[in-house]
Amino acid sequence: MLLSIMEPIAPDNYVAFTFFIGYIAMLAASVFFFVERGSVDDKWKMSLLVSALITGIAAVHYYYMRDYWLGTGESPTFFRYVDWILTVPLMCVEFYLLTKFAGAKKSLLWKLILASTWMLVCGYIGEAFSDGTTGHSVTWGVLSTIGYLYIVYTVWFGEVAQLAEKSNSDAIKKGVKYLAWFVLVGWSIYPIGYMCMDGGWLSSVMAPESVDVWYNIADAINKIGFGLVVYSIAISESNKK
Amino acid sequence: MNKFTFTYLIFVYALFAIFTLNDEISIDTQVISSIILVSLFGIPHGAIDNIIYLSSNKITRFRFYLIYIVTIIFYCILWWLAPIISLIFFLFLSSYHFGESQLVDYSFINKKRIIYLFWGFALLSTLIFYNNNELLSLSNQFIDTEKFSQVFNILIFKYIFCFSNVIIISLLVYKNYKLSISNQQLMNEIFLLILIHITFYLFPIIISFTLYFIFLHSIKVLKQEFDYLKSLQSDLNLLKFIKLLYPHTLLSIVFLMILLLLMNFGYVNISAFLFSIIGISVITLPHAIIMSNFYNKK
Repeated sequence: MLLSIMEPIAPDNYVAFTFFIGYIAMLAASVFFFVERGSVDDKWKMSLLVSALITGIAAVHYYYMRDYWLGTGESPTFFRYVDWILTVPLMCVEFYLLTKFAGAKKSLLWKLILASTWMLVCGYIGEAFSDGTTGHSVTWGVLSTIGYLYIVYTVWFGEVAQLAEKSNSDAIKKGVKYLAWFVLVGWSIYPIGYMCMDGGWLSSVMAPESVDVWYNIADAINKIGFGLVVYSIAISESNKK
Repeated sequence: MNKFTFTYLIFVYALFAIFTLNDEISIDTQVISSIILVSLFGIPHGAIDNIIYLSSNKITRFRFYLIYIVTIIFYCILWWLAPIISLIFFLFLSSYHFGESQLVDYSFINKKRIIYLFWGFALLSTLIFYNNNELLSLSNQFIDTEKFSQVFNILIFKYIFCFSNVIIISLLVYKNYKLSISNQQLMNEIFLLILIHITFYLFPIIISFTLYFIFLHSIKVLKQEFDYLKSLQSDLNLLKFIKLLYPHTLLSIVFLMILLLLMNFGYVNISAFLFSIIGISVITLPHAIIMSNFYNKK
């Protein structure tokens, strides 16, 4: 029986609590996007499938991460980055799929995927191979931020923004703008978590386990929020006809 | 977010990394970097006041320079007679000027001057509130600026800080409700205010103000001036624009250097801090008036 092997979650174990909530929320969002694929036009089905995959992959990882945390009391950095390396490029695919109707080329997709991979690999080295010094944390944090800023620039002013502007759809323009806000504000929650680890700027004021709380909050906002924005564009564009 | 805010964001990230690695940046490095940036962008943004004003007002060149210089002299006399009043006037003047340059693109019909003023109040009170200790120790370091600590009192600025921030956000939300600004524009403004709070909280006062003054004010105003002149003179390019900027910029820098030398040799008996405040305020007054005229005629 599943329940008999589950570790009980103590009421004050807020890290495990956010893992649990995250898992349920991601799973629910995934089911929602899968079911709602049937309500939108064919050209939007792929976008909703990608949204469902993002939350679905995250739900599986959250299930493991919750158990890992309860079993070891350690931050599941490895699972976390495996989740991100799969889901963050998929978020970039969302930008490509949205702007494809306005003429986006495959090269845009690859540039975004490369930038997001760079951001995550540098973040992983910064976190997983930390020697507890500020120098290590800051160096890899800065390198990771370069990838992040490239994505911010592309979606706010670069190719993605220009393609959205060129499209005749107000829904796409508005949707890309909302997704750009997610990248700018929502993604900037992750560095708060990163700075809580040993050697990080916030390590003296926040406990190391805060890393996971911040990451879980950021994931819930960004992954589910991202999908909901895509869903609202798809629904409003499909209902036009 | 616009490109100015994005550039500002990059510098905030970079400085944050530098601060985390080094704990602090020496005051000399802060002052030198600030002087370089102000010379490159801050002074030039007011260096074509004459061209801007003369292009849209019927007034002779001589009369323009006369009024400009007389305004500066009057303000210098006010500083000599009543330094506290001059300082308070400067805080009001720069608040209005910063608010106007920030929000001028929105089509506010009613209460626009109040909104400009409160935006500036929010900006300056945030700067002074988060960096109050630093500002007070700087004021108390020199005999001629000791009395400014009455103005920079934390109790006063605590109230101005809370009040002006709440008021400006309420006014922007109200304007959004009245459809004077869109949801996106409201989000942009609130994001910028949050970013300014983070910056002013994290960094020392010189770095905080320089970051705002250069990337969110001076470069933005330079762009507004360039666009305006380009609309009058279609063949204007960046090089020609720089040529327009440099005569008065160089003149200002030379004039400042002469004054600094006079101070250094004891001919002008005021502290560097008071000299900076007076210098900035007396050139801000005519510049703010000209820019207000420019924005109203746009």
